[in-house]
Amino acid sequence: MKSKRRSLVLLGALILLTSALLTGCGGDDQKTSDTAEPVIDVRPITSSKQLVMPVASYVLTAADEKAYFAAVNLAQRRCADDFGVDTSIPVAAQPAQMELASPRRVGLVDREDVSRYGYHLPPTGENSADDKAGGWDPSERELVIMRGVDSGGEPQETDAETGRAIPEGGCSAEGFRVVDEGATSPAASDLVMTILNDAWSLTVADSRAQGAAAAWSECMAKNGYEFSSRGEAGNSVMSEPEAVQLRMAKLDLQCAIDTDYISIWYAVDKAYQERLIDENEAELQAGLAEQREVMDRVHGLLQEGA
Amino acid sequence: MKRVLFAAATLAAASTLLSVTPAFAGPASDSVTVGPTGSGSIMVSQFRQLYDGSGYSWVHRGTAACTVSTSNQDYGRSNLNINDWNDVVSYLQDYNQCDVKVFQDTNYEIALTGYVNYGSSGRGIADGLNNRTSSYYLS
Repeated sequence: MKSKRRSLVLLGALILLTSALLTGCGGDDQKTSDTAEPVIDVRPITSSKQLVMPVASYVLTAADEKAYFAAVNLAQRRCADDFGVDTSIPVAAQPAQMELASPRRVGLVDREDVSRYGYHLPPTGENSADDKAGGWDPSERELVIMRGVDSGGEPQETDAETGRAIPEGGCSAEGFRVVDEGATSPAASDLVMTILNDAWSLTVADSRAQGAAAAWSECMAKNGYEFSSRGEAGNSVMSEPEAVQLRMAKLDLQCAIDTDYISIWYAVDKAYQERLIDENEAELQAGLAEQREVMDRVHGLLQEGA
Repeated sequence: MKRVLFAAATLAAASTLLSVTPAFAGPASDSVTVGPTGSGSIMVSQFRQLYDGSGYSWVHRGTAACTVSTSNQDYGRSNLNINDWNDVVSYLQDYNQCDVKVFQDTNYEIALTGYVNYGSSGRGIADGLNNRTSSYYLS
């Protein structure tokens, strides 16, 4: 891992010069297009809470997602009731979809968390352990009714006790069908995820982001480590003792701060997301409308079940 | 809008909803997926390419939490290669009472671990097993 310093200054300067020419320094006649790198607005980022994803405007809130899963669970239980099964299938507990996308999207950001946990994510509370104690322990019949397969994984189409047809995928899938009615789930928007994917791919290839990565690499090289990308730093110590990991995490973050890596990468990512949003505005609005329709059903179901 | 990147999520044959965030994924058509038929959005696992949490990740979604027993497989993916996720997993997270068992080869051949509870905060895969996963079960 340790090695001689790599001379990346010239490369970084060249990339930054190119990016400056592409991002508006040339005056009004420097117009952007779908293929040109977008203009970026670099602002200081000191907390992952500042990493707001523009595309997050097209998903509902974490509270909505929580209500959605409560309604799905209610629909799953009602389906089971129809078979005379009192299921104990739990309500889903998981991070909201936008929480998955933002805190570590550009690597380590939060100095306090890094000083305590290094590369590890901070514990998230009640669900952080996720152990099986007190978890779902269905009987064989409940399993068949809820999942449409037996414990050996064999699909079951008919309930042996009642002779009734089991919904495809069991009552667990039926609950989603009842609530979603084929619409975009408030907990998993395909288009939003696709935009996040594509924005990331564009960010990685962007000259401004690459310039920041080169500057970060140079900073790490000054400290005796040779990495071509930020992710390599964490991977290089993942099997090392915690103290070693912690030292690397702190250095990784310090170099990111010193080189404006986080601010630049976020600005680039944000700009590409905004471009992709513009290109897909109608479809995004339609998806959002679908999610709101789903939430209308969610609130109706929860009121009925109260 | 280019949708090929989300091929894994839209497979008609897939019995669970999969997403990759951010992602790279090639055409997928024949990977056998364990789990109940029908799409749901309950997250059961997330695999990350990089230990620092940046870059690409693989999210597996299903219709129900995993059961207490690990004698059966609640979910699985027999071939990560066709989604360009072969031998890239470094960090694992599991949710909704699921544990993860990873295999070196496709079709659940050569177990690298038993069932491990990585938790929602997750942790790196065991020493020496980085970038070696080709298929996995969740239970």
